[in-house]
Amino acid sequence: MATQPSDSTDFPPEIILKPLALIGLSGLDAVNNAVHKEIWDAFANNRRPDRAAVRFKLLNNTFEFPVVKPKRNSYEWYIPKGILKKNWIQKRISLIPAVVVLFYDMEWNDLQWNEKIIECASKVQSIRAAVEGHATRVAVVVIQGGQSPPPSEYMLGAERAQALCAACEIQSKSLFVLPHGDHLMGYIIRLENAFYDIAQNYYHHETKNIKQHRDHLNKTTHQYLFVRHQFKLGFLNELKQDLSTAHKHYMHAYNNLLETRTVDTNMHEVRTVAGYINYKLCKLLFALNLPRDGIAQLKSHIERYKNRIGSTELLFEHYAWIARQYSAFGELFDEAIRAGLPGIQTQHPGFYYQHAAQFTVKRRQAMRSVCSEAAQYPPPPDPLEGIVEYYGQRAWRPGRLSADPHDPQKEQAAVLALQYNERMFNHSAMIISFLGCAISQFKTFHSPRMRKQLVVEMANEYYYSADYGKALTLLSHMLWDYRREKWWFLASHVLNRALQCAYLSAKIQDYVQLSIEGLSKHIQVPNNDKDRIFRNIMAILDMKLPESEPDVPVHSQNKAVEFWQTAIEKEPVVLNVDMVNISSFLEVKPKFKQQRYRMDEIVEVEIYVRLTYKTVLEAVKAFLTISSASETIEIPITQNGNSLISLESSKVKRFLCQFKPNPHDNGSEIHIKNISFIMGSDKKRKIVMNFKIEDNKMLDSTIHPELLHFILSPKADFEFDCIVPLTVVSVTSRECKLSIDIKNCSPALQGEWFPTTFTITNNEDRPVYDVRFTLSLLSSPDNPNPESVTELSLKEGNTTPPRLQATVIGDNASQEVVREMFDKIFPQNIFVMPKYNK
Amino acid sequence: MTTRSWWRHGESYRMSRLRTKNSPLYIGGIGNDTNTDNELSRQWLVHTALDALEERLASNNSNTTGANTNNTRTDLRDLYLGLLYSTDTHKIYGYVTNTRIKLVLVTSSTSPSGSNIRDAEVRTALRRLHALYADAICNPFHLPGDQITSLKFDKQVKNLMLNNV
Repeated sequence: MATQPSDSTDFPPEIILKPLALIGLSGLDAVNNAVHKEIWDAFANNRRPDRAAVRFKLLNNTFEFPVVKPKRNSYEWYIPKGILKKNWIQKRISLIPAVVVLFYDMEWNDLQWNEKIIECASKVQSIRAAVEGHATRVAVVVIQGGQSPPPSEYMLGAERAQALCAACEIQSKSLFVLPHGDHLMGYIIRLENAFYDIAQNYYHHETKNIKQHRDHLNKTTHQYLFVRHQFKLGFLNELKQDLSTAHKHYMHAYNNLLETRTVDTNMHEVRTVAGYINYKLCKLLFALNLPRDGIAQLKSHIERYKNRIGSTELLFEHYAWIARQYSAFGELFDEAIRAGLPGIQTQHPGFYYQHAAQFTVKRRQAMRSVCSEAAQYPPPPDPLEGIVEYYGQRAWRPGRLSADPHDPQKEQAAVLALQYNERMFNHSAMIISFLGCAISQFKTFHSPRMRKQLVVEMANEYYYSADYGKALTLLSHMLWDYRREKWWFLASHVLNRALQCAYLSAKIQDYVQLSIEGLSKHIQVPNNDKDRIFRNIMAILDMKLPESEPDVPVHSQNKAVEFWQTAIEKEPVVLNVDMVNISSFLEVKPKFKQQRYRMDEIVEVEIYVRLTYKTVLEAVKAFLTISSASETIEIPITQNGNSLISLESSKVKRFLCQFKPNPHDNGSEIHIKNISFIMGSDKKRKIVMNFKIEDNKMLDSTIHPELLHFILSPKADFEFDCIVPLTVVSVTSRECKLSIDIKNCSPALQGEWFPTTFTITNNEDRPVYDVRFTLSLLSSPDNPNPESVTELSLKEGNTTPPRLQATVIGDNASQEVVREMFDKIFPQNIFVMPKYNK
Repeated sequence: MTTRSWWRHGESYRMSRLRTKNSPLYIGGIGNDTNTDNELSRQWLVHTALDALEERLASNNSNTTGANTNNTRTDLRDLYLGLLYSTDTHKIYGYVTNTRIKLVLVTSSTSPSGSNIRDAEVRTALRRLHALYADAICNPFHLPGDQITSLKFDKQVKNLMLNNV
């Protein structure tokens, strides 16, 4: 997942982190003592989720606990200065341990037992002194060697443990023995759970303390304290890992906060704290596996605070705050999904990121309307400098509750400073990153079209932040999809934006391609000004600068002109445009005249071209590319013998290409591969429009020629629409024009020479040379071996096998080549099978 | 696809009808707002609704094939898919004919009178739209797959929308 963009509305880390019970480990010398280091590592490292929810902190001797505030006996005169103190959570999660554990090396049968026990007790005492005032629990762990004591010493151990407890003034359940040897990890986990129990006990005790305060409070002056105490209770319960109780208290805190009176001066504080509490609530609801309640909580939260705008001069802060609520929720949702919660298409984190992006857009709008005069940061002293003790309070009036600004001048400077900072803020980057998060979510949850829409929005954002290259890349991909689904209105929107980007970044190739597509009949352009687009294409051909696209930012346009001046002269001189993938103003259908050609026939290809844009294209060169098994050839398309052709709009032009098939292609197929039109063939810069033809693409054509007959008034291009392209043709070998005729008078008698006349006729239009004839006899079941019982001869009575002569057969001449061939026949059935080879 | 929009009252009501290949056959509706920006957002809305619609179709199909391999259940399924999803401002309903022509109806989330549009009303409206569509493509001069340009159809659809709310 992309990381969330940060700004002043970021949640502080202590709010986001999951609270873990804090346990201080003392007496471990992890640097110098190998055994201690091993123990510390076992506690602190490799904290998998299945281990107890605690955090360990190594305490050295100089560790100081926060000073305890004097106990307040009465709240009567106390007026709180704010809702939540910034340092309270910090204290709870890293400064005040629930339990401090003292580790001490000692064997039960130690010789200096008495000294040891005194040292240990004094250490415990010093810890007690350090935590003075806090209710932090103290526990002792005795580290012992691995070997178990002999049974005789069990009693000794028990006795001495009791003595130790007494000396240290701890309960026996707070004393632990850690044998250091095998199974260290197992002992550590048991210890950890024991500490965790003590910690829970401690936090429970703390919550009781806070609950006691409540009796002293009254609603008129202490409304903030109601919130604060409930929040603290919630947090302590979270530390205790009692999530449902924590949720209950946070909910009280949230509701109490709703009841506070809000004015412009405390609005920021109230909503900041509300945001934090809401975050906690939602997080707990996800953790309690109540995602629906979490979603409902967010919805009502936004609903309640939507109209609490605060000072209109700082309207943007309100939208920034809403955006942050959504994005933080999205993040929580996303985490929950990764932890196993199933998301569905209509309810997943993507929507929340999308909302975050939308409200950031609103934030920018608000910035534009209220920050236009904040041109300069106010002079020092910096009004935003200062230490703020409470969440969401302003640096220039910390801890003040009165509704009227105490120092109007300072107030004004501060507002100016905030406005200036807002003006300098990069909203686009933030919107883009929110959209990025949303896009990946929508992709995961089967919403390709929603994703596309967001990608287009992202591209727009790149456009506003003048990153035209990136915008163009995104838009070209999206254009493809909208075109394929034939949502031309949306495609037009995308194309027009892409064209602006291509113009502003002077990407000549993209510019030409988009312009060509812009002339398509499906695409709507602003002001219906297709002539301008056409003129621009022509200008590029003439190496001139194109006219500017409408509605482009002025400062970028001046830069664009500079870009174009350098780009127009440069490569690529020849611009290739793949026309099949785009919808354009030129349509082409090629068609072989026949399904099949013989080798000796001339192949004819008809090419129908329709120009849908109202213009005349002059001096266009066109080529047809044909490929076969052996070669690929390019054939120029001509018009009345002229290789420069012209195309007129709303007329279907037909061109005929002829060529002879290559003799090597006998028995294979010929494909039409490509038809290219070259605009500006007489100029230095050329635009080559390639209609590549892929065999599979032509099959799913949606044209139903048979249905077109029903159209009442045939459209002008009826002829064109009816044509079904034929791009593959097979070539077969030429037909042979020699024929043979066999004459004899059956039946033949055994032992008789049987005269047979073979007449070969040549109907070819040229003579045939080097002809060889082979005569063989067909075997049959009755006569399996006819060669042995048959004699062949050219002359009657001659028993030597005949050698048939090669003879020239003249033009269309019929000549009896083998005359008077006799066969001395012994068996009854004789078959004569003459063969000839060329 | 019809856009029915009563932008004056802050309500929009729109219909769309799409072929299997998801190219729009007809987009229209009621409303006096023909502003390009609004038209754009309306088309986005309908286009993205196809995601939900296709997902619904896919899950319907896998259910039927999983439980029962013959196609009778698919044929007997309800053509009306109900509410596809709702946003803060709009509600989007889907309907798919047996030949996989998709009808999408978009209404604003709240009607001017404050009462919400009832499901049964939407169902009837889409059924009638289906009938109108069938009539329109029965026209022998209509080319299947082309956008529906019939004025009569357009008028009928707009009437349907006006009378239904």
